[in-house]
Amino acid sequence: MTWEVAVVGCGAFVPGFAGLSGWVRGEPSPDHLTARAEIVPKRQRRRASSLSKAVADAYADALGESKFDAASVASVFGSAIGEATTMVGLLDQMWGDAAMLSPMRFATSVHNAASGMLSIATDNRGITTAMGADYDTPAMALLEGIGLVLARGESVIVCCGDEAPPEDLVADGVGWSLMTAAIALCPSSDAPASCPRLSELMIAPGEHLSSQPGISENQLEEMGRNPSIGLLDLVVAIREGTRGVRALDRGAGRGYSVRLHGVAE
Amino acid sequence: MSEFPPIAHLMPHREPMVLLDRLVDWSPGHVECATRVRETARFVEDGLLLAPFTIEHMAQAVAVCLGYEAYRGGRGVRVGMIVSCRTFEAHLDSASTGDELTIRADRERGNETLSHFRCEVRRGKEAFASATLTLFHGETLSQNPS
Repeated sequence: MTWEVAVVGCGAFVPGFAGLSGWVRGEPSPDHLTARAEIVPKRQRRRASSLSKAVADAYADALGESKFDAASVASVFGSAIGEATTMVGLLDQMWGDAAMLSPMRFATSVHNAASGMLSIATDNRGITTAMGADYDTPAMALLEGIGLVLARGESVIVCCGDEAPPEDLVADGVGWSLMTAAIALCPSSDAPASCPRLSELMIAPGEHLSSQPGISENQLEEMGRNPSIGLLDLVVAIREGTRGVRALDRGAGRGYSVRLHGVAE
Repeated sequence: MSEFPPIAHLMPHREPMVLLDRLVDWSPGHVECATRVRETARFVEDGLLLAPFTIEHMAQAVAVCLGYEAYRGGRGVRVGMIVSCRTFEAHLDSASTGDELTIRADRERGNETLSHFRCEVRRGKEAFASATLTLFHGETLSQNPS
């Protein structure tokens, strides 16, 4: 059985860059060191973690480009460690300091914190799910999103991201820095022919970003360890107009990749 | 007679949540426990224990590993919690009532509050499920069961 879905929007948040376009151009922006999460009302934004805010920025960009209906679009949020910093902080507080827990912090410590925050912020009544699959998180989140497009004809935003892991959660030397990315998908028949298509999610060798203008090798390497990097690599390839088999991880996962192409290629 | 104390002395869990029968092997950072799948046990439905539920067996094996360490040092058992399951693989769908399971856990690294364990459950000689778990260690229970 062959399938195909269309890509109608992309987004990303990388600290120090103005969205996906800024990152692709390699132009640092001191005004974008932290995520703005302007799609989220101020009161909610104040409670949100840095990860949730970064997810909100990538999601908002993909939503804006796609012109999907914010109130009905389906969404898939992937993250390997989720809100681990908030959660470990709460556990420390609970057992280390024997302090009363903040119900607000508790509400934002769960894996679907960003999903809940964005569905409330946009008054969204569509399907939303949150998931984690370690270094295969981008591949599995895409699989979930593609499934929603193909099985239900949904318009879907798939968003992946991971914050820097809290101390001791991962082994020394394998930490990473924050990044998020998002991609908007819909049935191929609903999209203009100019939009790229995805097909064949498979375990096979694929290309990924190996250099980036304006980014040092160290920074690129640190970001490359982020379990969600595969989705950023994919949206960069889309923005640059690259085609071919694109890797969804950088060697730490099981080796999933996806075919990126134009109509009738 | 086992060289190890009863399992209930080594973990904070109480019936009906005690899923392991006995400790069979231990060295610092390593543990092997055994249990038989029982019709009346938690998570067993229609005589089957589905693979994903064995995460709890693995977590309890980690509790026993650390609990026996504490027991040998004359300290109390600590309460713990699974913080993350970075990987999980089900090699078989399920185990049936009467099957003998062995649960092994090996510490990859850790400190006073967080530990990372590679865990494996075997059904007889077959690999049943495996996972990498991160656990948070909290307070010490005030009393161990007598």
